[in-house]
Amino acid sequence: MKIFNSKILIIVNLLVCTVIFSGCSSSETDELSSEEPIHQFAIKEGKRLFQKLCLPCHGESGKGDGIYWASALDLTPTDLTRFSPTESERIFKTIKYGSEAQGKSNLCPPWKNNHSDEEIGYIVDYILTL
Amino acid sequence: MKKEKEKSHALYFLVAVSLLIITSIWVIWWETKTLRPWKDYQKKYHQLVVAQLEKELEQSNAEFLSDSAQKEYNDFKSALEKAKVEFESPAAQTEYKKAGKELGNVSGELKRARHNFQKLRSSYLKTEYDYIKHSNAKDKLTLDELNKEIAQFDKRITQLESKKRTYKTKLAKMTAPVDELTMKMNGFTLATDNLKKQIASFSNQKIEIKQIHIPELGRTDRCSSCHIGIDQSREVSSAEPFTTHPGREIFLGDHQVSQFGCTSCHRGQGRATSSVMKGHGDVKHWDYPMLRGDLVQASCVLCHEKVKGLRGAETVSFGIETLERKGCYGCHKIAGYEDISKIGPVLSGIGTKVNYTWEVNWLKDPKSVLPTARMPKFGFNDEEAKAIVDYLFKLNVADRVDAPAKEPDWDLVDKGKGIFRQSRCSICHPAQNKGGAFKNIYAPDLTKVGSKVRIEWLKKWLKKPQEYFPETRMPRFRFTDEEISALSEYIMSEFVDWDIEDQKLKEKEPIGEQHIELGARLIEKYGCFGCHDIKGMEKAVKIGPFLKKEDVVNKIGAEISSIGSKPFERLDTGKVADKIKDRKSYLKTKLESPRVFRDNLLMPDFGFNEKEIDGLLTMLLGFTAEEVPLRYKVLDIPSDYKLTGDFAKIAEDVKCLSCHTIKGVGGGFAPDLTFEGSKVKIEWLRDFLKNPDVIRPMLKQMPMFKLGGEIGMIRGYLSEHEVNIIINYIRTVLVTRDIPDDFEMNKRLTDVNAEEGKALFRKKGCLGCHQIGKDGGAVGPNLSSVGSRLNPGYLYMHQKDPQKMVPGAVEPNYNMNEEELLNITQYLVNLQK
Repeated sequence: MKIFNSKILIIVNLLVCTVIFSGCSSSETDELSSEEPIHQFAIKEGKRLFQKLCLPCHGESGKGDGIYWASALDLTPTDLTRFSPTESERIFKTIKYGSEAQGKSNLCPPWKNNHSDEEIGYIVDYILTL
Repeated sequence: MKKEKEKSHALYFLVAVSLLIITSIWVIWWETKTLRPWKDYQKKYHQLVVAQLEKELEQSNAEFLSDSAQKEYNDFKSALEKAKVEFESPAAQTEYKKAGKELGNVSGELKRARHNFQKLRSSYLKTEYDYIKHSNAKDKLTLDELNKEIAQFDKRITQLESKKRTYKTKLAKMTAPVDELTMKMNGFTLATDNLKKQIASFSNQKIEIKQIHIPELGRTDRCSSCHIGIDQSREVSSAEPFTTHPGREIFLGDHQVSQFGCTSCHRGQGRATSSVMKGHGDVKHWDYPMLRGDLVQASCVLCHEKVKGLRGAETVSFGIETLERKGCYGCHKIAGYEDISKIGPVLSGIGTKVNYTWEVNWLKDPKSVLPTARMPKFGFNDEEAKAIVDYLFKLNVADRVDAPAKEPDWDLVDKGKGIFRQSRCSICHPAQNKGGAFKNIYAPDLTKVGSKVRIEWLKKWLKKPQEYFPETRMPRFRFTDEEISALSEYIMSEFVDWDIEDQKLKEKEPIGEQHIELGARLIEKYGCFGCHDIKGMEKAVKIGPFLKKEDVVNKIGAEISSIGSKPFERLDTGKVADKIKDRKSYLKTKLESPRVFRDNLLMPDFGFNEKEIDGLLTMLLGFTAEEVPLRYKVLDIPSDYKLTGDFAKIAEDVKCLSCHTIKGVGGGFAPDLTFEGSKVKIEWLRDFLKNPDVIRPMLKQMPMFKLGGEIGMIRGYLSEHEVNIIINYIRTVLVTRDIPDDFEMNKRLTDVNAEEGKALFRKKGCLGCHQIGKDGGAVGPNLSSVGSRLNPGYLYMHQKDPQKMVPGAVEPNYNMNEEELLNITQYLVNLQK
């Protein structure tokens, strides 16, 4: 009687092991996702704002080739495609406080009362992709 | 054979026991490690935070150690030491100790006095009670005595209190230099200390499941167990799952995580924490897998009844716009679109309107005739298309009629061309890839219209469009008969397609019974009456064999109100089952090629572009059966504005509201007229209504300007009487108290310096966008004679808050003070014609 019991035990034990180990093999391995930055939203929102606020003068491409700027005045809109990411702070301030705050003409208006810092940040992100 | 007792089972037991031990260890490891990936994420996140804080600490330390900071710090330090020495000098110390002792004495005395005062008060209350109850004369005496004593104590306490204050100030004065300097010294290390504290707290942060439970929405979200930094403002890494929520201000600003959870918008399996795939709901039989990218906008429509213009909901908003533009509700049942009028033109009189050949070509493939066609391709073959046209033409007892192009009268054509331009037909009607700037309404492309319609019909249409199609949005232009013949001559000769003209000349057999029968069958099968009114078809629906299946006949497509909730298993993937794995790919395939699943499917090919498919897909995924509590709903209460009186008759005739908007109703293309009465000067309005061209010639210069600019009004030929009616309506109904009236403004504008306003106008760089005289840009309107056009009150309000009067105006808010506002207003008021 006793031998019967112990053999049963071993078999049951083995069965349990198999079941558990087979369960183990099906569990997926997870890895940390790539280090790619997620700026899609910022850039899309920035583009929308850019098209509303900046496009008339700076143009679709940002090269300063918009068609609604004050052509009778001597100044031309800045080419926005030549900025590097290190200048983001400067672009931010220009949009927020206007070009006058950067010691330039007063023709590019300040947007600080209409748009939050976050929104201006989106525009900067978009300008840097140009 | 050995006896059972002598046999050794040690080996069996050894194996069994070791297996059991290994299994147990492994089970524990699996349970605590493998099933809890969020633990590692949290640890990593804390490390990242600590690393960032340490960097900041380093920086702050470096700042502290910089020469200038150190010099300042040392100055304070020496000053402090000096102050300490001074304070610790025997003389100062004796005085300090003396004052301290005095303060102690006073405090003790005060305490005792207060105690006694309390005791007296209690006995007073007791005696008072006795006196009221028994009216004993003795009690009265005691009361008087007690009263005196209380008054004395009161005085004493006040004295003691002021004494205590004096000593306290004295002591504070003595320690003041030391205290002040110590505080200043601490200021140097405050940031560093704070950072150190934060580092310590993050290093010992508990690793635990984070859960947001919102019973109202049925949400139990553990997403932030892995996405631990999602609602933080500090971004330590832009990689998943550590990043912060993009567009925090828009998305989390109005949707606090504690109120909405995560899966309310993003879907996925909120409870699952054992793997990325499970958490995101990318597992079999989970009906709502996570919505990635812009697809998450599908959830906006759950609460927001109106998504048009909602920030961050551009894709789904475009989807809904596409639904409305393409008229999906013609065949599909969609909640909210039950009572909307049919999108296509009335077909009952089609036999009197168009040429046979054109109509057949159109039915076979509308987009091949006009790339801008709105009607989808049903894939009819030549015979089928002809049969349908036969049926429709027979409604007007017409045969297969074609009117070929004729040699035009060139004098008339020249005249017609002028009228066509003057009437600005091309604002709404595109032709030859030009015009059609107004996208909110669908105006037929005129590129081939000369080969499409017959001249007799065109003349009638131009005379009174409402007669042929009562729901048209085209204004009645009030052309004279001569103008109509010139205009129609121009249209018929200018917009001709010679391929169709060649086909028109071919021999045609007369319409037979069998053609009509086939046509009727096809119309019923494909449900043309979903989009078009067809004479006789309404009758067939009501008394025909489809009586019981009325719904099916009225709406031939599937109900898509809750397609986003339909389990994937119940979608018929048919022939392409191997390629379609989920609801999303099913819907996308259905939109791209509707009939790929099986033969004999009915849905036509709309030729959607990628953007339209993205929009529609997002919208469809949002059409779920899910209900949200009313508290979460953002209702869209439609405007109840209705045109009234004599004005209504004119406005409906010339269709003002096809372009203009009044109180939320209308086309949203031309300026909003809701406050027109407060905005513009009546004299200007009168001139403008009588002859729009003369007042605003420059506006014609920017027809491509889509940023809220104006294109100029069509000529409506309004009579003097009608102009008066319109002006009366505008000055009495379309006004607001938000804009100060002329009386109020005249009061405010006395003693105002317009010269300073002019200087301010120059200083703020307004010329960058606005033109005055020859100078200035064209982003905003030309202001050369703005004073004769707009009321002073409106000019003032527009400076004060540009977006209040015109939501979405591009004009920056300069936040000017009252004086500046009035100065600049006066300057603009003076800009008269």
